[in-house]
Amino acid sequence: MTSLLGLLGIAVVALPLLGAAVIQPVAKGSTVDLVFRIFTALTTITALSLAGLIVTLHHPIGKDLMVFDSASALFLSVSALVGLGSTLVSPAYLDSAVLFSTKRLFFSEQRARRWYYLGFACFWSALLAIPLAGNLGVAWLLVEATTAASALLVGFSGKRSALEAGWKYLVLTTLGLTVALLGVVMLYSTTRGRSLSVLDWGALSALTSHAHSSALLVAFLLIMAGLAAKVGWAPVHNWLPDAHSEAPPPVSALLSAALLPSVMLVGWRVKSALYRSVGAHDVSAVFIGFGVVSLAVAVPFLWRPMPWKRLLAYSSLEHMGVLAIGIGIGTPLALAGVVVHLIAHALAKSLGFYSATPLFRTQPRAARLPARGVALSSPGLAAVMGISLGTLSGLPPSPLFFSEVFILAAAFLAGDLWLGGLATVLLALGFLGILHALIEGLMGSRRQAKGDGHLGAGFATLATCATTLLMALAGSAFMLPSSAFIHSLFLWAA
Amino acid sequence: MIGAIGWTMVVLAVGVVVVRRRSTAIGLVTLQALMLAALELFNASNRSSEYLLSGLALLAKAVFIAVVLGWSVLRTRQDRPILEDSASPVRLLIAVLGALSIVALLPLGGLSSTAVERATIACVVVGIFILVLRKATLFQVLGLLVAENGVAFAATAIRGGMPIVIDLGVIFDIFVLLAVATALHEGIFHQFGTGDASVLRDLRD
Repeated sequence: MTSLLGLLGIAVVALPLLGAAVIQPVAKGSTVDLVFRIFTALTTITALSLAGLIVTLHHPIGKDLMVFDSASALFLSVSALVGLGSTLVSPAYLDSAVLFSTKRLFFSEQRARRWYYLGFACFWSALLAIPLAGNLGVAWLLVEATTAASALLVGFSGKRSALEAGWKYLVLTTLGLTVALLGVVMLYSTTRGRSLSVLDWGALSALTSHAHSSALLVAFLLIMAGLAAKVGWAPVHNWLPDAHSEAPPPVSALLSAALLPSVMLVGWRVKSALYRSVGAHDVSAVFIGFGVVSLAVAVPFLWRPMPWKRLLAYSSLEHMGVLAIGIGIGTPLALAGVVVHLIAHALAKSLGFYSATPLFRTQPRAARLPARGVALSSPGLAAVMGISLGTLSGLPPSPLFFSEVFILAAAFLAGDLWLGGLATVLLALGFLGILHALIEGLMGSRRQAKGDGHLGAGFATLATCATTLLMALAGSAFMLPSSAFIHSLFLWAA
Repeated sequence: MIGAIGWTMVVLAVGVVVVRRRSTAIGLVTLQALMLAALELFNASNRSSEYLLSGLALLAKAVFIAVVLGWSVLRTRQDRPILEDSASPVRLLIAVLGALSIVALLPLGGLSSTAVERATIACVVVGIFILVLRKATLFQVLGLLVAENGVAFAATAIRGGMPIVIDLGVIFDIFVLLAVATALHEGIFHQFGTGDASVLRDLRD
């Protein structure tokens, strides 16, 4: 069984790269799209199979620098599904007039498609590997690996704003990860062993509180400060709205729905590994602090009229804050909220970003200005945008409503009345802001539109599947807090 | 001796804050990287042969920095020098005072010695100041490299060294990041006509 898990783990990471290599000599665009889709489908099937096998395990398994536990299964599944969706909508983006109206692409037009898929494959491959990383050092390397590929993808269109966003993203996240690396080096230095296995999650958990506990605290804080820059938690979030709004929409979905949570998982694993040696209160406080500050910073921006993708980017800041609070509280009820929130956010946010391509086709000015009156020109598109934003706002019966209730209830039950009260107020304000954007965007006075905004059958199918999954999640959310999955997650995280 | 190496690296880092020419700054950062490679190769005599490989990889990194960034400077010649917001003596004062303050305030974190720890933190902090105080995009790349060299110094100074997988992985990451950063820098130069990061102000809320 362990060998099978290891083999599947390697296959999951290797398949996207293999697909990118196979398409390089292919010149015809439609063939490139088709071949990459095949490899993506294979990757997703492998990843979901692996996740399914992991869930059947009675206890976590660590092998050859990989770890197979509940958290791996969850985050791997999310990254796989988002990658699949992004691949399916990528051809529409690549063919879109928006892209080719740009006078200068970052890559030559002849090879742009293949460079895009190469960068996408490298990025996605690293994302799929992160949940399986069984070692802090290896996890850091994988997180760093996502930066290079995704920075080029952010600047893919070659527009001035995209280059600016790509530059800021590269510089700020690399700086953050350098600080995190300093923390890893300090952590390694305080341990007694001298091999890579010293940084295994299990080995770090076995560290006890010695005279070096202040050293461990400093190392933990440096690691978390660095990872916070990559997750985009406030106050080190400055790159996030720019990168997510300027990247190609399929890449924005990967950035928001897969990258941020995957990096947060690394922080979560560090918290779980070090909470005994550093102190449970201190590690939780770091997460809760980042969560509350992120919420507080995001909410005012959600009230401002802004372009569609930039609105979704600030929404990501809000939702990463909620997840941080849930992880910081760490009770089974809070973790149930985290699970539901993670999945629902990934589905809804991806749907929102995928809507950007048809939106910009019908309202080109929506790339720079708030969308207006979409329902009047494109009812189908408006429905999809409405589902996305309605879900993200936490409007019942959105699964995010339930997840936020779980997390807030967990805060109150833990006796943290100030946290619960403050988070409730901030979430309510955020909800109202997004609701306002939803109403104005769909029903406001119509902007001049081009074309009829017809959604392709593929996009409509994707939207239907995502909506079905969201509804299923909302319907089953109440069963999660007492489930075996949450119990196993709690045992790992506790 | 190791403390002396560390503080020499800090002095080189401060030099990057002050110097005007990009090529001089690249030379200083390359020298930092060469010192790291020399330290690792010296330590390799007391460790397994894996550390010889690590030392050679650090040497390759130093050469890569010089070649890639030097080539980029040749391809992105500025018509006029980029005017900084503050004069070099002011930048020097800010960087030195800032680094010394943070070194004094930050509690010790368990690195192999106090001297190593202070030199590492000073290097990382000066790297951050380079990012903040210098406007040229290439200088911002150098700031990242200076900070990373500081961390690499701490790793090299650990008794027994860091795991070879981490050492080589980090060096490989630097290769890739440097290539990407250079590509973006050249994209910015050709799009904006300058490598001045202060023109990157379109995106605001």
